[in-house]
Amino acid sequence: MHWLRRPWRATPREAGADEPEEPGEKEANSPLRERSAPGIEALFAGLREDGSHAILDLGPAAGGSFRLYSRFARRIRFADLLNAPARGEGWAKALQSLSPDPEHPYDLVLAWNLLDRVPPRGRSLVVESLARLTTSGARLYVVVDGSGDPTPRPLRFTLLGLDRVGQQPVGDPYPALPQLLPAKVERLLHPFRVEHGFTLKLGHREYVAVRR
Amino acid sequence: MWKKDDDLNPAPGAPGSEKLPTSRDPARSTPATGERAAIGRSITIRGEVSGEEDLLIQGHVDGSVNLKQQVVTVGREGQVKADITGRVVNVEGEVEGNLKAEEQVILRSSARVQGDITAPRVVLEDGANFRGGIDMGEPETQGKRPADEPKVTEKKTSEPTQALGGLSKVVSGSITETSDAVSKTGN
Repeated sequence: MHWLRRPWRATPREAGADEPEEPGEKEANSPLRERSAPGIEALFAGLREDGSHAILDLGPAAGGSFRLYSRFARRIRFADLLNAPARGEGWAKALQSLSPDPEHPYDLVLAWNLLDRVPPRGRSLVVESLARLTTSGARLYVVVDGSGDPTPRPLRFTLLGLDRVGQQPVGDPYPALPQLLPAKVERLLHPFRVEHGFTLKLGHREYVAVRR
Repeated sequence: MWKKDDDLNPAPGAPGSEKLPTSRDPARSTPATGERAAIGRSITIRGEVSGEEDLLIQGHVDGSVNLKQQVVTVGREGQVKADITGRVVNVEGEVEGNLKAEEQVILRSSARVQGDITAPRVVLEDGANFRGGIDMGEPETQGKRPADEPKVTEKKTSEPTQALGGLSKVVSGSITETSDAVSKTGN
Protein backbone atom coordinates (compact mmCIF):
# COMPACT_ATOMS: atom_id res chain seq x y z
CA MET A 1 0.00 0.00 0.00
CA HIS A 2 1.35 3.41 -0.75
CA TRP A 3 0.33 6.75 0.63
CA LEU A 4 0.30 9.86 -1.42
CA ARG A 5 -0.58 13.30 -0.26
CA ARG A 6 -2.45 15.45 -2.72
CA PRO A 7 -3.56 19.04 -2.33
CA TRP A 8 -7.19 19.74 -1.64
CA ARG A 9 -8.40 22.05 -4.32
CA ALA A 10 -11.64 23.40 -3.00
CA THR A 11 -12.85 25.70 -5.69
CA PRO A 12 -16.29 27.21 -5.68
CA ARG A 13 -18.30 25.98 -8.60
CA GLU A 14 -20.87 27.87 -10.52
CA ALA A 15 -24.45 27.13 -9.67
CA GLY A 16 -25.96 24.78 -12.13
CA ALA A 17 -25.13 21.28 -13.11
CA ASP A 18 -25.76 19.25 -10.03
CA GLU A 19 -27.78 21.60 -7.96
CA PRO A 20 -31.39 20.60 -7.54
CA GLU A 21 -33.91 22.64 -9.37
CA GLU A 22 -36.64 22.48 -6.82
CA PRO A 23 -36.68 25.60 -4.71
CA GLY A 24 -36.56 25.30 -0.98
CA GLU A 25 -34.26 22.34 -0.83
CA LYS A 26 -31.40 22.96 1.53
CA GLU A 27 -28.73 21.88 -0.88
CA ALA A 28 -29.68 24.69 -3.24
CA ASN A 29 -27.60 27.04 -1.10
CA SER A 30 -24.72 24.68 -0.51
CA PRO A 31 -21.82 25.10 -2.86
CA LEU A 32 -20.41 22.15 -4.70
CA ARG A 33 -16.79 21.79 -3.70
CA GLU A 34 -14.45 20.32 -6.22
CA ARG A 35 -11.41 18.43 -5.09
CA SER A 36 -8.79 16.18 -6.52
CA ALA A 37 -9.54 12.50 -6.12
CA PRO A 38 -6.47 10.31 -6.45
CA GLY A 39 -8.53 7.46 -5.06
CA ILE A 40 -10.93 7.67 -7.99
CA GLU A 41 -7.98 7.71 -10.34
CA ALA A 42 -6.67 4.56 -8.68
CA LEU A 43 -10.10 2.96 -8.74
CA PHE A 44 -10.43 3.21 -12.50
CA ALA A 45 -6.74 2.77 -13.31
CA GLY A 46 -6.11 0.13 -15.91
CA LEU A 47 -9.76 -0.66 -16.57
CA ARG A 48 -10.85 -1.11 -20.15
CA GLU A 49 -13.52 1.19 -21.43
CA ASP A 50 -15.45 -1.63 -23.03
CA GLY A 51 -18.56 -1.66 -20.90
CA SER A 52 -17.68 -4.99 -19.38
CA HIS A 53 -17.76 -3.82 -15.78
CA ALA A 54 -20.64 -3.60 -13.32
CA ILE A 55 -20.69 -0.62 -10.99
CA LEU A 56 -22.45 -0.15 -7.67
CA ASP A 57 -22.65 3.43 -6.40
CA LEU A 58 -23.98 3.65 -2.85
CA GLY A 59 -24.62 7.35 -3.21
CA PRO A 60 -27.44 9.14 -4.97
CA ALA A 61 -27.44 9.26 -8.74
CA ALA A 62 -25.51 12.02 -10.42
CA GLY A 63 -25.42 12.77 -14.11
CA GLY A 64 -21.68 13.37 -14.15
CA SER A 65 -20.97 10.10 -12.40
CA PHE A 66 -23.25 8.20 -14.74
CA ARG A 67 -21.59 9.61 -17.82
CA LEU A 68 -18.25 8.47 -16.52
CA TYR A 69 -19.49 5.07 -15.39
CA SER A 70 -21.08 4.38 -18.76
CA ARG A 71 -17.64 4.42 -20.33
CA PHE A 72 -16.76 1.36 -18.30
CA ALA A 73 -19.99 -0.41 -17.50
CA ARG A 74 -23.29 -1.41 -19.04
CA ARG A 75 -24.73 -2.27 -15.65
CA ILE A 76 -24.81 0.44 -13.05
CA ARG A 77 -26.76 0.76 -9.83
CA PHE A 78 -27.31 3.86 -7.75
CA ALA A 79 -28.38 2.49 -4.40
CA ASP A 80 -28.47 5.81 -2.57
CA LEU A 81 -27.77 4.25 0.80
CA LEU A 82 -26.32 7.52 1.99
CA ASN A 83 -29.82 8.96 2.16
CA ALA A 84 -31.40 5.96 3.84
CA PRO A 85 -31.86 7.81 7.17
CA ALA A 86 -33.55 10.71 5.40
CA ARG A 87 -36.00 8.24 3.86
CA GLY A 88 -36.68 6.74 7.26
CA GLU A 89 -35.01 3.47 6.36
CA GLY A 90 -32.70 1.70 8.74
CA TRP A 91 -29.25 0.80 7.50
CA ALA A 92 -29.95 -2.91 7.72
CA LYS A 93 -33.11 -2.60 5.65
CA ALA A 94 -31.34 -0.46 3.09
CA LEU A 95 -28.58 -3.02 2.78
CA GLN A 96 -31.08 -5.83 2.39
CA SER A 97 -32.56 -4.04 -0.60
CA LEU A 98 -29.35 -4.78 -2.47
CA SER A 99 -29.75 -8.21 -3.90
CA PRO A 100 -26.82 -10.00 -5.51
CA ASP A 101 -26.87 -10.82 -9.19
CA PRO A 102 -24.93 -14.06 -9.64
CA GLU A 103 -24.63 -13.49 -13.39
CA HIS A 104 -23.36 -9.94 -13.08
CA PRO A 105 -21.67 -9.36 -9.73
CA TYR A 106 -20.31 -5.89 -9.23
CA ASP A 107 -16.62 -5.37 -9.74
CA LEU A 108 -16.52 -1.68 -8.86
CA VAL A 109 -18.14 -0.26 -5.74
CA LEU A 110 -18.16 3.36 -4.65
CA ALA A 111 -19.15 3.44 -1.00
CA TRP A 112 -18.16 7.09 -0.57
CA ASN A 113 -18.35 8.00 3.14
CA LEU A 114 -20.92 5.39 4.10
CA LEU A 115 -18.71 4.01 6.86
CA ASP A 116 -18.70 7.43 8.51
CA ARG A 117 -22.49 7.41 8.55
CA VAL A 118 -23.21 3.90 9.78
CA PRO A 119 -22.97 3.31 13.54
CA PRO A 120 -19.92 1.24 14.52
CA ARG A 121 -21.97 -1.87 15.18
CA GLY A 122 -23.31 -1.87 11.63
CA ARG A 123 -20.10 -1.18 9.76
CA SER A 124 -19.04 -4.79 9.48
CA LEU A 125 -22.52 -5.58 8.16
CA VAL A 126 -21.95 -3.04 5.39
CA VAL A 127 -18.70 -4.66 4.37
CA GLU A 128 -20.20 -8.14 4.55
CA SER A 129 -23.01 -7.01 2.28
CA LEU A 130 -20.59 -5.53 -0.20
CA ALA A 131 -18.57 -8.73 -0.21
CA ARG A 132 -21.76 -10.64 -0.98
CA LEU A 133 -22.52 -8.41 -3.94
CA THR A 134 -19.10 -8.38 -5.53
CA THR A 135 -16.85 -10.70 -7.40
CA SER A 136 -13.33 -11.68 -6.44
CA GLY A 137 -10.99 -8.89 -7.46
CA ALA A 138 -13.66 -6.24 -7.16
CA ARG A 139 -12.44 -2.75 -6.29
CA LEU A 140 -13.97 -0.73 -3.46
CA TYR A 141 -13.64 3.02 -3.02
CA VAL A 142 -14.17 4.53 0.43
CA VAL A 143 -13.80 8.04 1.82
CA VAL A 144 -13.28 8.62 5.53
CA ASP A 145 -13.75 12.00 7.12
CA GLY A 146 -10.89 12.78 9.43
CA SER A 147 -11.69 16.45 9.78
CA GLY A 148 -13.09 16.11 13.28
CA ASP A 149 -16.17 18.12 12.41
CA PRO A 150 -18.59 17.45 15.32
CA THR A 151 -21.68 18.06 13.21
CA PRO A 152 -20.98 17.03 9.66
CA ARG A 153 -23.66 17.23 7.01
CA PRO A 154 -24.48 14.45 4.57
CA LEU A 155 -22.61 14.84 1.32
CA ARG A 156 -23.65 14.29 -2.26
CA PHE A 157 -20.77 13.16 -4.44
CA THR A 158 -20.43 13.65 -8.17
CA LEU A 159 -17.61 12.48 -10.36
CA LEU A 160 -16.35 15.38 -12.42
CA GLY A 161 -13.63 13.38 -14.08
CA LEU A 162 -11.39 10.42 -13.48
CA ASP A 163 -9.45 12.36 -10.87
CA ARG A 164 -11.96 14.99 -9.75
CA VAL A 165 -14.87 14.78 -7.35
CA GLY A 166 -17.50 17.34 -6.49
CA GLN A 167 -19.05 17.10 -3.06
CA GLN A 168 -21.98 19.08 -1.85
CA PRO A 169 -23.49 19.19 1.65
CA VAL A 170 -27.15 18.25 1.62
CA GLY A 171 -29.67 17.85 4.39
CA ASP A 172 -29.39 18.36 8.10
CA PRO A 173 -26.24 17.89 10.16
CA TYR A 174 -25.88 14.66 12.08
CA PRO A 175 -23.82 13.85 15.17
CA ALA A 176 -20.38 12.68 14.23
CA LEU A 177 -19.51 9.12 15.10
CA PRO A 178 -16.12 8.13 16.53
CA GLN A 179 -13.45 8.68 13.91
CA LEU A 180 -12.21 5.74 11.91
CA LEU A 181 -8.45 5.53 12.23
CA PRO A 182 -6.41 4.07 9.36
CA ALA A 183 -5.61 0.77 11.04
CA LYS A 184 -9.25 0.34 11.97
CA VAL A 185 -10.33 0.94 8.40
CA GLU A 186 -8.00 -1.70 7.08
CA ARG A 187 -9.33 -4.24 9.56
CA LEU A 188 -12.90 -3.24 8.95
CA LEU A 189 -12.69 -3.64 5.19
CA HIS A 190 -11.78 -7.33 5.35
CA PRO A 191 -12.21 -9.32 2.99
CA PHE A 192 -11.30 -6.27 0.94
CA ARG A 193 -7.61 -5.51 1.14
CA VAL A 194 -6.53 -1.88 1.07
CA GLU A 195 -4.21 -1.33 -1.87
CA HIS A 196 -4.14 2.47 -2.03
CA GLY A 197 -4.65 5.11 0.61
CA PHE A 198 -4.55 8.85 0.10
CA THR A 199 -4.65 11.55 2.72
CA LEU A 200 -6.22 14.75 1.49
CA LYS A 201 -6.22 18.19 2.92
CA LEU A 202 -8.54 18.69 5.91
CA GLY A 203 -7.87 15.12 6.96
CA HIS A 204 -10.08 13.28 4.52
CA ARG A 205 -8.76 9.91 3.47
CA GLU A 206 -9.51 7.91 0.35
CA TYR A 207 -9.08 4.16 0.17
CA VAL A 208 -9.15 1.73 -2.71
CA ALA A 209 -9.42 -1.84 -1.59
CA VAL A 210 -9.59 -5.06 -3.58
CA ARG A 211 -11.72 -8.04 -2.65
CA ARG A 212 -9.74 -11.19 -2.07
CA MET B 1 -60.55 11.61 -21.14
CA TRP B 2 -58.07 11.12 -23.96
CA LYS B 3 -56.98 14.38 -25.37
CA LYS B 4 -54.80 15.02 -28.31
CA ASP B 5 -51.46 16.50 -27.50
CA ASP B 6 -52.24 19.83 -29.12
CA ASP B 7 -54.94 20.46 -26.57
CA LEU B 8 -52.62 19.82 -23.68
CA ASN B 9 -49.46 21.54 -24.75
CA PRO B 10 -48.89 24.60 -22.64
CA ALA B 11 -48.32 27.95 -24.20
CA PRO B 12 -44.79 28.68 -25.40
CA GLY B 13 -42.65 29.77 -22.52
CA ALA B 14 -44.84 28.15 -19.92
CA PRO B 15 -43.45 25.38 -17.70
CA GLY B 16 -43.36 22.11 -19.57
CA SER B 17 -43.53 23.80 -22.94
CA GLU B 18 -40.18 22.50 -24.08
CA LYS B 19 -40.19 20.10 -27.00
CA LEU B 20 -40.67 16.49 -26.11
CA PRO B 21 -39.69 13.59 -28.35
CA THR B 22 -42.50 12.21 -30.46
CA SER B 23 -42.82 9.80 -33.33
CA ARG B 24 -43.15 12.82 -35.57
CA ASP B 25 -39.56 13.80 -34.94
CA PRO B 26 -37.63 13.33 -38.18
CA ALA B 27 -34.84 11.54 -36.36
CA ARG B 28 -37.19 8.92 -34.99
CA SER B 29 -37.31 5.60 -36.68
CA THR B 30 -40.67 3.96 -36.12
CA PRO B 31 -43.73 4.48 -38.23
CA ALA B 32 -45.26 7.77 -37.31
CA THR B 33 -48.95 7.86 -36.71
CA GLY B 34 -49.04 11.59 -36.32
CA GLU B 35 -50.90 11.09 -33.07
CA ARG B 36 -49.98 11.61 -29.47
CA ALA B 37 -52.50 11.02 -26.78
CA ALA B 38 -52.24 12.57 -23.38
CA ILE B 39 -53.46 11.88 -19.90
CA GLY B 40 -54.33 15.20 -18.35
CA ARG B 41 -53.21 16.19 -14.92
CA SER B 42 -56.64 15.70 -13.41
CA ILE B 43 -56.90 12.11 -14.61
CA THR B 44 -56.14 9.01 -12.54
CA ILE B 45 -55.89 5.64 -14.24
CA ARG B 46 -55.61 2.33 -12.45
CA GLY B 47 -54.85 -0.58 -14.71
CA GLU B 48 -53.01 -1.27 -17.92
CA VAL B 49 -52.43 1.33 -20.58
CA SER B 50 -51.47 0.06 -24.01
CA GLY B 51 -51.79 1.22 -27.57
CA GLU B 52 -50.11 2.29 -30.76
CA GLU B 53 -49.45 5.97 -30.42
CA ASP B 54 -47.22 8.21 -28.39
CA LEU B 55 -48.42 9.15 -24.93
CA LEU B 56 -47.89 12.10 -22.65
CA ILE B 57 -48.76 11.50 -19.01
CA GLN B 58 -49.44 14.56 -16.91
CA GLY B 59 -51.83 12.80 -14.55
CA HIS B 60 -51.68 9.75 -12.31
CA VAL B 61 -51.23 6.20 -13.57
CA ASP B 62 -51.18 3.21 -11.26
CA GLY B 63 -50.67 -0.12 -12.98
CA SER B 64 -48.66 -0.55 -16.16
CA VAL B 65 -47.94 1.35 -19.35
CA ASN B 66 -47.13 -0.79 -22.35
CA LEU B 67 -46.45 1.09 -25.58
CA LYS B 68 -43.57 -0.88 -26.98
CA GLN B 69 -43.20 0.95 -30.26
CA GLN B 70 -44.01 4.44 -29.04
CA VAL B 71 -42.62 7.38 -27.16
CA VAL B 72 -43.90 7.58 -23.60
CA THR B 73 -43.38 10.86 -21.83
CA VAL B 74 -44.08 11.40 -18.16
CA GLY B 75 -44.50 15.15 -17.93
CA ARG B 76 -43.47 17.33 -15.03
CA GLU B 77 -46.90 16.92 -13.48
CA GLY B 78 -47.07 13.20 -14.10
CA GLN B 79 -47.06 10.73 -11.24
CA VAL B 80 -46.75 7.12 -12.27
CA LYS B 81 -46.69 4.01 -10.14
CA ALA B 82 -46.23 1.52 -12.91
CA ASP B 83 -43.76 -0.28 -15.05
CA ILE B 84 -43.39 1.58 -18.33
CA THR B 85 -42.43 -0.02 -21.61
CA GLY B 86 -41.86 2.02 -24.74
CA ARG B 87 -39.55 2.61 -27.65
CA VAL B 88 -38.40 5.80 -25.96
CA VAL B 89 -39.29 6.61 -22.37
CA ASN B 90 -38.82 10.23 -21.38
CA VAL B 91 -39.37 11.19 -17.74
CA GLU B 92 -39.75 14.68 -16.37
CA GLY B 93 -42.04 13.81 -13.47
CA GLU B 94 -42.28 11.04 -10.88
CA VAL B 95 -42.14 7.35 -11.56
CA GLU B 96 -42.12 4.45 -9.15
CA GLY B 97 -41.61 1.42 -11.30
CA ASN B 98 -39.32 -0.09 -13.88
CA LEU B 99 -38.60 1.60 -17.19
CA LYS B 100 -37.89 -0.46 -20.27
CA ALA B 101 -37.20 0.99 -23.69
CA GLU B 102 -36.22 -0.48 -27.00
CA GLU B 103 -34.14 2.56 -27.87
CA GLN B 104 -33.62 5.01 -25.04
CA VAL B 105 -34.62 6.14 -21.59
CA ILE B 106 -34.16 9.80 -20.73
CA LEU B 107 -34.37 11.11 -17.18
CA ARG B 108 -34.66 14.88 -17.29
CA SER B 109 -33.33 17.09 -14.53
CA SER B 110 -36.78 17.30 -12.92
CA ALA B 111 -37.30 13.52 -12.94
CA ARG B 112 -37.79 11.54 -9.75
CA VAL B 113 -37.52 7.85 -10.46
CA GLN B 114 -37.30 4.79 -8.28
CA GLY B 115 -36.96 1.56 -10.21
CA ASP B 116 -34.76 -0.24 -12.65
CA ILE B 117 -34.00 0.91 -16.18
CA THR B 118 -33.43 -1.41 -19.10
CA ALA B 119 -32.46 0.24 -22.37
CA PRO B 120 -29.50 0.23 -24.73
CA ARG B 121 -29.09 3.96 -24.19
CA VAL B 122 -29.77 5.96 -21.08
CA VAL B 123 -29.50 9.69 -20.49
CA LEU B 124 -29.37 10.87 -16.89
CA GLU B 125 -29.45 14.62 -16.69
CA ASP B 126 -27.80 16.46 -13.83
CA GLY B 127 -30.34 17.07 -11.12
CA ALA B 128 -32.41 13.99 -11.86
CA ASN B 129 -33.33 12.07 -8.74
CA PHE B 130 -32.89 8.39 -9.46
CA ARG B 131 -32.52 5.31 -7.33
CA GLY B 132 -32.19 1.94 -8.98
CA GLY B 133 -30.27 -0.08 -11.47
CA ILE B 134 -29.42 0.62 -15.08
CA ASP B 135 -28.96 -2.24 -17.51
CA MET B 136 -27.76 -1.20 -20.95
CA GLY B 137 -27.32 -4.75 -22.18
CA GLU B 138 -24.24 -6.55 -23.22
CA PRO B 139 -21.12 -4.58 -24.10
CA GLU B 140 -20.61 -3.76 -27.72
CA THR B 141 -17.96 -5.76 -29.44
CA GLN B 142 -16.46 -2.83 -31.30
CA GLY B 143 -15.74 0.66 -30.10
CA LYS B 144 -17.50 2.47 -27.33
CA ARG B 145 -20.74 4.34 -27.20
CA PRO B 146 -21.07 7.14 -24.67
CA ALA B 147 -24.44 7.15 -23.04
CA ASP B 148 -25.44 10.61 -24.15
CA GLU B 149 -24.17 10.53 -27.70
CA PRO B 150 -26.98 11.04 -30.21
CA LYS B 151 -27.93 7.92 -32.04
CA VAL B 152 -29.13 7.97 -35.63
CA THR B 153 -31.24 5.06 -36.75
CA GLU B 154 -32.66 4.14 -40.07
CA LYS B 155 -36.32 4.66 -40.66
CA LYS B 156 -38.28 1.49 -41.02
CA THR B 157 -40.80 1.59 -43.81
CA SER B 158 -41.85 -1.99 -44.06
CA GLU B 159 -44.87 -1.71 -41.82
CA PRO B 160 -47.87 0.21 -43.02
CA THR B 161 -48.35 3.24 -40.87
CA GLN B 162 -52.09 3.19 -41.27
CA ALA B 163 -52.26 -0.11 -39.48
CA LEU B 164 -50.98 1.64 -36.41
CA GLY B 165 -53.10 4.68 -36.72
CA GLY B 166 -56.13 5.75 -34.82
CA LEU B 167 -56.87 6.12 -31.19
CA SER B 168 -56.26 2.67 -29.90
CA LYS B 169 -55.44 3.04 -26.26
CA VAL B 170 -56.63 0.07 -24.28
CA VAL B 171 -57.29 0.74 -20.69
CA SER B 172 -58.45 -1.93 -18.33
CA GLY B 173 -59.33 -1.16 -14.78
CA SER B 174 -60.94 1.83 -13.25
CA ILE B 175 -60.64 5.39 -14.39
CA THR B 176 -61.19 8.19 -11.95
CA GLU B 177 -61.62 11.78 -12.85
CA THR B 178 -60.94 14.08 -9.99
CA SER B 179 -62.70 17.31 -9.40
CA ASP B 180 -60.61 19.27 -11.86
CA ALA B 181 -62.10 19.37 -15.29
CA VAL B 182 -60.23 17.58 -18.01
CA SER B 183 -60.23 20.72 -20.08
CA LYS B 184 -58.10 22.40 -17.47
CA THR B 185 -55.18 20.19 -18.29
CA GLY B 186 -54.19 22.31 -21.19
CA ASN B 187 -54.01 25.47 -19.15
